[in-house]
Amino acid sequence: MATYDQTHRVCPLLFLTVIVGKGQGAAIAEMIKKAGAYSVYFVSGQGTAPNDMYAILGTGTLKKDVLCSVIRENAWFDLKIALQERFAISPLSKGLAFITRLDSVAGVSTYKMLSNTMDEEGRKKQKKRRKTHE
Amino acid sequence: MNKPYVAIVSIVNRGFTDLVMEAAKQAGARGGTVLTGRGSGNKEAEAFFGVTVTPEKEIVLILVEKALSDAVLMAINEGAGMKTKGMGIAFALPVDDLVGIGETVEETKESL
Repeated sequence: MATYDQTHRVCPLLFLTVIVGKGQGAAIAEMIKKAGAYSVYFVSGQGTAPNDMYAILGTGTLKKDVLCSVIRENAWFDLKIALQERFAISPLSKGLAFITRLDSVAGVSTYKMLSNTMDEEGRKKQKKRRKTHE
Repeated sequence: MNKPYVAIVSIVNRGFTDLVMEAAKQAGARGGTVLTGRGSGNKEAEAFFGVTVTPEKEIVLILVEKALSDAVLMAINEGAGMKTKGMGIAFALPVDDLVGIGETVEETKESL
């Protein structure tokens, strides 16, 4: 029996971590979702540099929003540029983002969920059905 | 990405992130981000080895150049490893690409 990756085009997945100042997380999460991520995991963190250092450098607050998500590899380039532009707006919007390639996932359904292809396949099926009705 | 980077993840007992950061900074790291977490240690192993694993943990995320990663990991192991009060572990994850250090939008567009 043919496996999923033999019958479908499988796009590599990337684990994305974004660290931004407290309060910036919601906007970044929207950007990640626009890039096609299924979900964004959101946690609070703290920077380790001393407070006065932040005041001198003007690089934002000590409290951080840390966002984790999984995106498709082909979405990364556009998201990278969008993040760079966002981080360049002002010292307060500065942040850090990095990706790590995922080696494997636990099953086809997990892949479909993480890659957010479940909806796309559903949309394709809907289109086909509409065409046949017309 | 001009220089290769790694993300060093260090998990230590709550309240001992200073040990990690001091060690990492001595080895060349600049700063990090601390997240809180909770360990789910093996109760049987705790009974066998006679040690109590504190469930409250802190996770320190540090981005460093790949060339520095071995030195930073060794420093963290010395300063906040299993033989210290921090009882920490540390590992490095590969970073395939990075935003926020170095490269500008124009440079990224040119790299395509």
